[in-house]
Amino acid sequence: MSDHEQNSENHDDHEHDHGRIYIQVFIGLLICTGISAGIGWMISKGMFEGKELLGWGIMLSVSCVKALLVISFFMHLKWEKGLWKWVLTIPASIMSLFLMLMLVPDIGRRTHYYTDERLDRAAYEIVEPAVPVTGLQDSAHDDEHADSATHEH
Amino acid sequence: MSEHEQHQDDGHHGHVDLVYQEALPINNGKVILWLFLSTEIMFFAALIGTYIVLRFGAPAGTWPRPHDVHVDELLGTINTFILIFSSFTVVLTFEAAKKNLAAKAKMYLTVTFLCGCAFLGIKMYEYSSKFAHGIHPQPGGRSLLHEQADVYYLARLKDQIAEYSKGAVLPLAGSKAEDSATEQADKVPDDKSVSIANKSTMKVETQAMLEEFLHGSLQWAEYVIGRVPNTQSAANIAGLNHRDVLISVSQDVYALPRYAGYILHLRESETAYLSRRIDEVKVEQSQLEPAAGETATSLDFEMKLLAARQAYWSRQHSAVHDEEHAHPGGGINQKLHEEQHAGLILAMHIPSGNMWSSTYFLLTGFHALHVIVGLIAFGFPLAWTLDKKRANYIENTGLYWHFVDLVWIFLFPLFYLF
Repeated sequence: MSDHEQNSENHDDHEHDHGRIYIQVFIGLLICTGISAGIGWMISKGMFEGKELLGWGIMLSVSCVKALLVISFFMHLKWEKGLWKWVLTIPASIMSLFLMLMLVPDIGRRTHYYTDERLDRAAYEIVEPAVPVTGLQDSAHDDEHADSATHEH
Repeated sequence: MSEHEQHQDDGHHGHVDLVYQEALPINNGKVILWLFLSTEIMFFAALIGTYIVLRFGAPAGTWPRPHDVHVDELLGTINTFILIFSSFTVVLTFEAAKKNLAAKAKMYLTVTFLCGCAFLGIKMYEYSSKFAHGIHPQPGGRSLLHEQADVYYLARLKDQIAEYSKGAVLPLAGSKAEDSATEQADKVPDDKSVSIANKSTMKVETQAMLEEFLHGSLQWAEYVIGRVPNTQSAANIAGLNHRDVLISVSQDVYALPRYAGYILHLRESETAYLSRRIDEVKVEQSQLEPAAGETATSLDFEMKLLAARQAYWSRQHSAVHDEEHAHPGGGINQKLHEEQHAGLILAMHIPSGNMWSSTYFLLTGFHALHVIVGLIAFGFPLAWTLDKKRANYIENTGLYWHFVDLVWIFLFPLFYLF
């Protein structure tokens, strides 16, 4: 119990009233949501025809900004002292990033290595040209897909 | 730490040099909460990352767009707003509790709690509308979302027909032998044969129900083959001449808006045949002598069947009509359900729909579970006095709630806007 009280006193020592900042962050989050929703609407109306990747990239970047706002202000990591916040967040984030990257070769690029026979039996028509199994080609198109799948986190 | 020191003091040994070790500058609950959140980061980042890899790894144009799978981005935006607002009210609760303003804190916490409930309510509505469109989370195996009328689709149909015929009045296979047996029994009327005859009548009606779909289903198969790009599937479809499969295929045809035109054509020829045949039977009936009992019954029976078929097609007319004007692909499953052909219900065909539905339900489901846990954690303090002593609890619960909000910040564009 004494431990708790001591800590809350510590808080009061170096924490001020964040009321205004919270309102600003809230408005910022609303604006970001508006941007995302607007781009989503534009994509659904076909305004990003052929450049969907750009729209998706903007939306995910906006999401990252929102996440940073929430983490640093609402979760007050910005005002926390000590190394512990980095110890607890950075390794977890790195691990999750690499968990995802691990999936890219076999899952993310799964249709790039289909055999012709498999493509024939595909339930849907594969729109992009299939890469033959022989050889390890790396066409520009492949890179585009790999990038879009990995760079966001 | 303090316990340890106390123990040493109680011992009165006095030999131990006490070393002051600085603890983390936060309370224990918060340390634990942050440890938990760091595992949560891994948990959700892995799920979201997997979704991103699957979604962008899908060949261009083969991942369902939000509108294909009946995702309403307006509802998603409202839910995003609700969650962000609830996060905002949580920090206000914490600030108020820190300043010992219990009543104010209680008010903000109540708003937060209501926001969480509203979020779950909208989520429930969204889920139920997915279910209504035949999109289900499917544990194990392929789900019911078929991408095209291909081999998998037909294999599934076969399975379903097998299931269906198990529950039917009489097995569909080997029906001819039983037919002749019951016919013979009819000729020698006694107590036993009456029940057999009844049974046989029921069976004939069941068969007739299926017969309704038989007309033109071969043409339908050809129609599909004409549109299936690879010959392998075509051969498979052609090889599957099991009439029940074809029957059910022709049923499911309404789920595919692109075949609606063909169904209209089928309906026209069918109704033309039926009205012609009904007229013929009427003429035959009027020409019958009153004494010819057996022929009269069989004619009556045929008349009943013809009427049933006519009624069926008039229903299908409105079905096709509704499909075209309301939501393509949506209503027919409901109709099959009403007509107790639930065993034959197949979901509509969406490219990568299986993958989409499993990822959608997995991610949003886990998120919704977290919201529920958050609501439980916020439920207790609603009964407390939220003064300075409770500020730590509010802060820690708030941290968890912000994390739930954070996850939704990523789920919202990925599922509703991409």
